[in-house]
Amino acid sequence: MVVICCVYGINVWGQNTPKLLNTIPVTAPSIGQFTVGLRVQVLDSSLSKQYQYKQIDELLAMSSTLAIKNYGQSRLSTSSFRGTSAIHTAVLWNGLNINNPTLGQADLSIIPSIGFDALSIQYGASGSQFGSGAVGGSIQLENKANWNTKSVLQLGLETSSFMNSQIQGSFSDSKTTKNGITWAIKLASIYQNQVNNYPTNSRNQVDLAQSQAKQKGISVDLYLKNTKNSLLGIYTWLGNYDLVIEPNYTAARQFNQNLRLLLDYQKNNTVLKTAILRDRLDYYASNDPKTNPSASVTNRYILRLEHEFNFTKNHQQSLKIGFDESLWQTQVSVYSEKNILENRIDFYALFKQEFLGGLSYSINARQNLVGSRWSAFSPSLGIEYKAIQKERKSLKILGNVSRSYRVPTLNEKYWPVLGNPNLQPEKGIATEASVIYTIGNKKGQNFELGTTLHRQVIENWVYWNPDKNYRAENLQLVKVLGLEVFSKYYYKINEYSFNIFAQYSYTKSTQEKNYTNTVTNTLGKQVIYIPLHQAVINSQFSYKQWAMGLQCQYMGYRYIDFDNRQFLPAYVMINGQASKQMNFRNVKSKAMLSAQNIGNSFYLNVERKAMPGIQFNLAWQLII
Amino acid sequence: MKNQTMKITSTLLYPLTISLLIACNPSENDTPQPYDSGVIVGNAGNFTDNNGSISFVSRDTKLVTFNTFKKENSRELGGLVQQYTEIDGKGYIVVDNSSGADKIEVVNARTMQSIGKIQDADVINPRMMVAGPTGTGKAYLSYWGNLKADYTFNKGFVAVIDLGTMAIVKKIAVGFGPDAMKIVGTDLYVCNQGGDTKVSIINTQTDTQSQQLEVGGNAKAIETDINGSVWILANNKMLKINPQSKAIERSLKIGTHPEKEAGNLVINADKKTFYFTYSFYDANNNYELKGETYSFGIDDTSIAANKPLINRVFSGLGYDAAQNRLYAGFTPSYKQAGYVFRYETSGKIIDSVKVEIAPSSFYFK
Repeated sequence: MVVICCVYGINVWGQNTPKLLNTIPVTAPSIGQFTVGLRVQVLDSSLSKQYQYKQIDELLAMSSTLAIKNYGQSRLSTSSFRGTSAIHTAVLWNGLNINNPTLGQADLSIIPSIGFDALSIQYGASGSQFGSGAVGGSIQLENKANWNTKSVLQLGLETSSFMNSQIQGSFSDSKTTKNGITWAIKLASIYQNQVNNYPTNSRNQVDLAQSQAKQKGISVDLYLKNTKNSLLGIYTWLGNYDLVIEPNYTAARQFNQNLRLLLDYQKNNTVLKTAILRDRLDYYASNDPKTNPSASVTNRYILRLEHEFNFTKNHQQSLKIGFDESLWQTQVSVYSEKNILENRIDFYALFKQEFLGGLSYSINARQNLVGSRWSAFSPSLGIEYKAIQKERKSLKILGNVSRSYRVPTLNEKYWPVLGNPNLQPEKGIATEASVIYTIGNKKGQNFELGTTLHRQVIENWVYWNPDKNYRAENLQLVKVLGLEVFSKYYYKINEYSFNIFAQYSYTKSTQEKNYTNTVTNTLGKQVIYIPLHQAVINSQFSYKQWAMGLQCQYMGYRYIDFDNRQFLPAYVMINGQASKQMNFRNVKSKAMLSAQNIGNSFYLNVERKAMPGIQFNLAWQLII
Repeated sequence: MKNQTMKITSTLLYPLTISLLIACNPSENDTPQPYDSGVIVGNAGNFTDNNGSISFVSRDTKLVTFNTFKKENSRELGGLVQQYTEIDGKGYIVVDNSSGADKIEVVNARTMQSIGKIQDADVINPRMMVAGPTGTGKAYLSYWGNLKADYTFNKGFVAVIDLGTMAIVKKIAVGFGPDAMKIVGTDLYVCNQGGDTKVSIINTQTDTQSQQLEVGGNAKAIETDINGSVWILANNKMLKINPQSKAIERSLKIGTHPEKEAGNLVINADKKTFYFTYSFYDANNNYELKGETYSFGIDDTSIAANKPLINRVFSGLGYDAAQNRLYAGFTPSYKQAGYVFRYETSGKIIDSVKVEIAPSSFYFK
């Protein structure tokens, strides 16, 4: 975390910083240290708190310019980074990629915000560090030990418009035993029932599907450390998501079950991770969820070993070498091969050097082996220079050149007839440069302004070609050119605290290859669902026991066809929250009123799938 | 007070003026309407995007009105367009939605303005609608029914529609995947093309299935020729059927290619010449769709399919009897606008116009 703060000065004054600084970096080596030249945005905890009853898709939509594509409330929600598609976002949980192995993308609508302790958005290609799929960027979910908690129990209840409700609870504790072992535990659970009983079944004559979802989730994180630099983390996360996509159509049910178990052992500079990830995704064509599902189950058994060497002479040098092996075992009812075993091995070496004058660079490389096939060798070079480096003022110039890659998903390889086991991995070359200026004063005011220019060319982009009856092919060539401008202001004095964050993105993402020889009018056209313009502004204010938040998202128009005739119109979404905490002796209770889509905007993320209008939530939380 | 009066006056005046203006409009029957004459193109759209549409193409110019239903009704059709047909001044658009909200949109055929919908919870995956014999006030709609839990279909149905009430009054069980249909006398022929080998024949006087005709494979298309003979495209063969005896009088194998399949069958104005596409996905060439368009005469004794009329394959064919031209829909991909190519009957191209996604069916008026 400390390193992230250096890379991205904004966090130095984030509310969450003190907590993060106190934390022993159990998982920090998985992100940050070697991401020199890339931009990492750590979400402000004051904003995350406003979304504690929401899934991360809503939180990300209001805190970044990731293009979130939601197929309807409670339904599939994916993200697109910097002009790429949903399968080009790697979602990492404590360093492990948790994208669905058959689909290759993560459904952000089934990841509750309370499931982890820190969320960061890493922009840009980072294949050398985060492996396959980190083409547009990565979303990093991290659980962190809090060694200083003393038996805290929290219980939260929320009731919302459309008869939706949620209950969540958590417990955390820590203790140091006589023989010098400190342990910390955090247990969190959630149950939510989304009935989505809308007053109408259409908005602006577009069907508003009354999808229904029941979500159950539990996570248990246990940490142990001794005085001899040994650290053990055991993470468990179990989630169930049962979805009736459209009640009027019985052939539309979906059941997700994810079991994640990670054991993370760290001794001095050596890290051993071993994990089991089990993902179940079933579709049912009947009202009875247990009959004849189109079922898929993938187990991934992961072993990762990393060692870091540090050399310090006149300057700081770090070299990390790592080995990661994961065995994938898949059973998908529609595949013709009934039991697929796939072994994936990654070797990587990450090197970083920091000079005293404010210059640092990193050279990373990763080689991936799937079965007996070598994927794209993915090196990267990152440079950072602190042109101004004063106590309350800094100016940083960052640059990065990276190779990105994505190994085809299991569906792309094994789907009967349409899949192709011989697909090539997608390969990209990404370059970016950022300038970030920060300034603060003794009065507690801090300001940051930054901009990033980025470019990526991705070849062999896999495409389910409708002209070939939807066969998967390495067909597309996409070129992305984009600009991001971001700014943050933060002010904290006595019992007041105020922050405001804004970001604007311009993303030109174009098709550079033809699908057919007969018609060429798709060349140079914007890739579908990628907004040219996108912006977000969010602000949080707190005074004593009161807290308020207001977020606003502008989503520009997005084309939905290759020749750019049809588009989904631009829209503005506004969310707001107000909460007050009350203390009675040792018991705290917090009431929160929030509203989504305050402007009652009619908006579409996907054609003909309307999203609901304004909705209210009332939540009450008890903290003992 | 003055403002108040003005407000009241204007409140009263505006509707009055508007209604007067409307009243001044001549009645619809006397004035040419936008969709009186031309070519209706059914653009199927992309499957899960539910973005089918109706384009209206001028016969003599390259003028196209896009998404006419939305233009006139300010809403999308909301599904794949399977077919457009007209019966007694009303247009019927068969819409198949990937999430089950299937329907027939009923419009005024001259203005494309919505009159209503024909919808039934059981009538899922509709394919084609045909008018019943003259004077019956009925129409028939073929539909596949719901997808089963194991992602296959049960046998499908033909719905009987009362055109006066726009209600489905009867559902007649037929074979697997009922699709193309044709009224021949008092019989309704139903081509079952979802893994069936029979054509169902429905007696329209009793609205019951009277017979099943063995055709040896999926039946894809049906037409009648100048002599009243029924032609069915099934199992890559053209079968000529006697409408009285239902006997197969002739069976012509189409071509000799091991993988190509014939489809998009249409007949010309004098009902003596058929046109069809003959294509396959080439496994040796990255599953590219390859094929051509051919023709044959009703008196031909073989269909060699070796001398293409047009060296292209299409997503739909239509024959315009008014100008004796062949209309061919071309779909570059299901995520971009398609084109309509116009040809002379000799196969010589006249021109092409851009329409919408996946032009597949035509209606000439």
